[in-house]
Amino acid sequence: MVEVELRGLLREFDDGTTVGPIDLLVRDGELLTLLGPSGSGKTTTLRMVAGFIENVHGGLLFDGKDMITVAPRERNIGMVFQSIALFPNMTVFGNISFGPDMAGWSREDTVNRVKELAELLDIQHLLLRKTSEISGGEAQRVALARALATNPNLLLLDEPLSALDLQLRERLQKEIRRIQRKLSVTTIYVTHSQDEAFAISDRVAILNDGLVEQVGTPEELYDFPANDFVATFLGSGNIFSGRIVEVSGEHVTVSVNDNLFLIPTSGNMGSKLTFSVKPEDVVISDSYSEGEIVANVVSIIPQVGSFKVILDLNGIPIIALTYDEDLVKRLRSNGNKLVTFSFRKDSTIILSD
Amino acid sequence: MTQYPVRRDPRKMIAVASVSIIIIIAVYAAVTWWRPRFVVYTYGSFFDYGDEGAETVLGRVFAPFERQYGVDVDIVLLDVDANGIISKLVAEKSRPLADVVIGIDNILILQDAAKSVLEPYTSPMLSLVNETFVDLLDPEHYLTPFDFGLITLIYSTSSINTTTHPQLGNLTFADLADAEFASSLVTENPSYSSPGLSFLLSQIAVYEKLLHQDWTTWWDDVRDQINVQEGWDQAWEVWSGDPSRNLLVSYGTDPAYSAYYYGSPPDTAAAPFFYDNQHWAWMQVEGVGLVKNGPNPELGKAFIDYCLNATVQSEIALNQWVYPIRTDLSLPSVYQYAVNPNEVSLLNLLLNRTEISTNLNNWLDSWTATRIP
Amino acid sequence: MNARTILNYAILSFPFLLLIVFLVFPVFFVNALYLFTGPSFFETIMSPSIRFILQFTIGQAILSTLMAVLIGLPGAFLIARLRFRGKSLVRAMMIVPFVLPPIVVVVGFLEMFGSYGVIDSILMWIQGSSTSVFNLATGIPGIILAHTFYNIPLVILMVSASLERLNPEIEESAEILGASSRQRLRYITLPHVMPSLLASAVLTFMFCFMSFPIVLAFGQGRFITIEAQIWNAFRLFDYGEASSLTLMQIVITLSLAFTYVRLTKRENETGKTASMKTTSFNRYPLRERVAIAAYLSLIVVLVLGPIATIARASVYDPVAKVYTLEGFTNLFRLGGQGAFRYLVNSLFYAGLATVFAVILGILLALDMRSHHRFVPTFASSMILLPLGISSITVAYGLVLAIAVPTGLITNPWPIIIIAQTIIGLPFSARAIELAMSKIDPALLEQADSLGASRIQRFLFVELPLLAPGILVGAVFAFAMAIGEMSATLFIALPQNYTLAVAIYEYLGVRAYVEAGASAFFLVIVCVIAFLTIERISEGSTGGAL
Ligand SMILES: Nc1ncnc2c1ncn2[C@@H]1O[C@H](COP(=O)(O)OP(=O)(O)O)[C@@H](O)[C@H]1O
Ligand SMILES: [Mg+2]
Repeated sequence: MVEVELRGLLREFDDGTTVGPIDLLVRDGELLTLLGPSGSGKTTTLRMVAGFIENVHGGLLFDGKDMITVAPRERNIGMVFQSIALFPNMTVFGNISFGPDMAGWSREDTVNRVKELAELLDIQHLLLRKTSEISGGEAQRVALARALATNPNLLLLDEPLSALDLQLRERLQKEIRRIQRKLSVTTIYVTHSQDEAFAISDRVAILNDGLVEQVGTPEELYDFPANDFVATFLGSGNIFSGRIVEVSGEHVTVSVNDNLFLIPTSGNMGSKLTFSVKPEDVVISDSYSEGEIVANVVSIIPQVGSFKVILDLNGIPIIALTYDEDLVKRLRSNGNKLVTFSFRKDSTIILSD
Repeated sequence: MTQYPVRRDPRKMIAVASVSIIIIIAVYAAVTWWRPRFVVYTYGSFFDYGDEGAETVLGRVFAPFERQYGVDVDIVLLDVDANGIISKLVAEKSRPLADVVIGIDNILILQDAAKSVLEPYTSPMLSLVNETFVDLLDPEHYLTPFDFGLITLIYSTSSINTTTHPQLGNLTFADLADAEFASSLVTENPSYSSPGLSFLLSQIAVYEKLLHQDWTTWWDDVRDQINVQEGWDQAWEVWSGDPSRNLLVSYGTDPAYSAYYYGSPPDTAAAPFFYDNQHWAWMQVEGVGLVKNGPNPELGKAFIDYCLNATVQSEIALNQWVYPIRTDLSLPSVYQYAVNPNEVSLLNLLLNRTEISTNLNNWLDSWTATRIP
Repeated sequence: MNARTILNYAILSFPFLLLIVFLVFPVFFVNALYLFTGPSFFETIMSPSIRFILQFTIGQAILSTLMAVLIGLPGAFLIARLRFRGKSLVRAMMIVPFVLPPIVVVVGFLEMFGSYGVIDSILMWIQGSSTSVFNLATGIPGIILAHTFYNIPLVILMVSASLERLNPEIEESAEILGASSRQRLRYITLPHVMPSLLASAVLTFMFCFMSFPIVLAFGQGRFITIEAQIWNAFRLFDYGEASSLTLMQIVITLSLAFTYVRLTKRENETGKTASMKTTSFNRYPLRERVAIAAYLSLIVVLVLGPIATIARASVYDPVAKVYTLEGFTNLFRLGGQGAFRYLVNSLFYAGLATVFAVILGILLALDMRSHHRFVPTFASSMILLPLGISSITVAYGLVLAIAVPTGLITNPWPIIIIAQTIIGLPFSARAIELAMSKIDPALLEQADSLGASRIQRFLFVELPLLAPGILVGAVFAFAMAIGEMSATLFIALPQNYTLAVAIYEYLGVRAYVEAGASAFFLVIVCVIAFLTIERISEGSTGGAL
């Protein structure tokens, strides 16, 4: 389809807020998600790609061709807005056939295309309805069908599922993924939900304050967050920040709020070090033995197939995951709020500042 | 496939709408297309007070002229008064549409604006007209006299009369300032109505020339009782509808009108002012004038001549309800009830022409000032 | 600059061009021609009589505005909150004053409030008096009452539309938080309607400020407005004074117009249409029902009374004292004294004026959406300009600057249509602009992203979404155009007279039945149009102003 390259794309608002400069490469046929908290510039970036924002700085290339001066309608994109924005004055059929009609397709081609998409998205029965007579999830699918109708090279989806309940959202995520694969249309997907991003994407770009923090596959991001923002945002770890108080061979000792941790890395005495440990790499136990660190249990939250245990270590919150039901039972029944914990071997990730 | 809605292109609808609108415009334009014709501007009630209505009378009266000169005469009855007609002529000055205008009176012609749109013309037919009228109206011949009326007070004899109120027989402004009369009096705003203006000038003439008093004092005296209406129509309305308002500034021919339509003796009587042992009234002379730079000046002159013909003049009394300017023509018998022009002195003669033209706007301003609470 | 940008600028500037040619230039032409003749501008506006006129103009406008707001406000609440049958008819009746030529209102008022009118007769009968005991249709009371009559519907329409936009959940949350009904009114409802209330007040003030036939009719020559004085000056060929006054008037009305634009801007931001909670009359407590009934009878007397007398005048011949349908048959009589040609003229001129006012309104609404710095402000002021320039100045300017040079005076109907377009434009443009501001910009971008060209986007997306606004604006523009009399009268030759002018003429010759029937016909045409539109646009008509 198309390869999209953003080169230092920058938008400055009248009030001085900026989004960008953003450098990003979306490979041909991949689904790349822009993930970031609300206000981080996802929509703005997407709209820059679509061409709705005038006065952008930097470059935007589709297959190496500069697109900055090309009007949105000539970029051959399909877009689903955050607000869905179905045309209220048309039926579902009218909405989906809008693109083909504008492009002057023959009636037959148009009808066939609409039917094809309706089948793909399972909305055949809705075609004659008014847009006010369909549900939120159906509206999403109609919007998707509409965006796909003219076989766009690039699909832009701005939080298309944010207004839906969990189950529906998960189903539609799968469908979007399936259709995207099937059509292998290059897609930029915007969401603020990590789960959604990880469920759907080939690659994810994490946005913060208008800047790209890290780009990678979900696994890369989760396993190797580049900085504490990414780590925190992805919930992929407990973040510790302290000073190196001792350097010995392969290890350094870091003091975090006067708690000492032994970390397998190198560094200079007295310098700052930030590292993260994923919850599943925090091992807890209620049997105390000499030399282990003791922490307070704050709460235990049951999750699917595991328990999330929140600890307090002299003021530092630590999240641990355990699968040990008996341990949890004991912790709950005997009122003992103290546990020992340790990090699994080689589980610490050093973060850049 | 047919089950799905087809997107209707609004362009078709817009095109259809545009074409129909254009057709409608074209039809309207064609129907009303301007055919060159001879245009006479006059006011809306011209010849409209008779039995037959203006259209019939005007058709009859001007048909011989149309035949003689082979033109269509278009008597344009504008729904404005003479001032409005002059305004229109002023606006159209650089490219007049009208050839002749009928209905400018002896006060209005004193305004430069009126003269600026007229061309002087001395009609040979003037020999048939009493010279006083020419002098009263316009010695410079911008206008040729057409008809005349007397502005005076009228009252309804069913509510007051000379028996209950002997003052009516020899009325003075002092009588009128008396609370009972003042709160019975209806007049017209001199800024908007020619009878109203004539009444104001009458009052000024009496006070300044006969009594040698400041004329504004009278208006101060009656300020809160007098009823000033916008124009003659509205004033007449109040006078005929409100039994407590039984004195009206109107025309001396009204009793004749009343006699003609509601039987004689009429229930309307006139009360001319009485000073120095004589009755007084204001004479309004209306004239016909040639529009300056009009499209058909020669026809215009012929038309003015024609207006003094008996054909036209003899229709004035019963259709316009004022006196024809040709005093040699006989009048309908009901005119015996009208104020006889030979029996009243003319208040106009007390104020000379330059006096009126230089002071008119000041007088109106002062009058307005007397009205301000 | 490429072709598209040029086209874009051409579209943006087209309405300005038209307005400059047909409004600004003629008015400027007349005024520039005369401003420096006669007494100087300052001499004119500082003279004692003009100062008094100005004071009176402003004073009566303030009083009338207060009255209209005080009486209109409860009506707005009733329309918004009370559930009753025939509500849309009542709402449609609100347009009546827009179509009624002032001269008709004067007659209606005389019949209702004048001496020997309806109220006077009742009072005379009660007191056993044979002479008039009551007359409100004269002097200041007459002027204020007539202005109140004209503007109550304006206040009701605008404020009730705003009330209907108040999300009921907001009031409900306040209620849950323990606010009494008085507190809710004070802290929630009033602040919400305040901008539209103020906007309707400014508009009312402007109309009263520009009032002229009413003031002439009831003013006894003592009370006149600037507008009337401008006519006066024109009549007496004092063009210098007319120009000075026009200039002063434009300055004052334009500042008001700006206030109005500001106020309505603020209101637009307060939100989307919400579904209003209505209550039926029977569910109100007794005390409130009594108050509502009392209020309704006041409205019946003040607003419906004059209209009813006009309706009666259309079938009752007061001279012959018989009921007759002659007035209505006269409307459809061809030739002679028949009014059919006036009817045709009225519909033709007002219809075309409406079409043009709508087209111009759409273009101006596009201007107001533009991102350019000054274009939206310029467009708003252009829209309101016609409200602030005396119609005689417009008419005189059009004749002098357009009709005479082009030779159109021989058949000046295009000039009449232009004048009526200008008079209807503020209403059409406003309604369309409001409708446009309600369109979700995402829809337009969506159309862009789906490959629609600008024209396709306009035709297939914007135009259908604008349709209700366009219809509402069209009805108001139509009502203004078909009721217009003064400018038409000045421009027209008799072959161009409209029903509104004919009414004036009929009243002049005391053809009351014909006058009444013509006025009633105007009313009916517009009420039907309004009802239809209410159906189509689902009752959002009040937002048009
Ligand atoms: N029109 C605007 N004017 C000023 N700032 C804006 C405007 N639109 C968005 N922003 C700011 O730009 C940033 C990014 O916004 P957006 O792209 O909508 O974020 P997201 O879609 O990630 O929630 C935010 O800080 C927002 O406040
Ligand atoms: Mg967003």
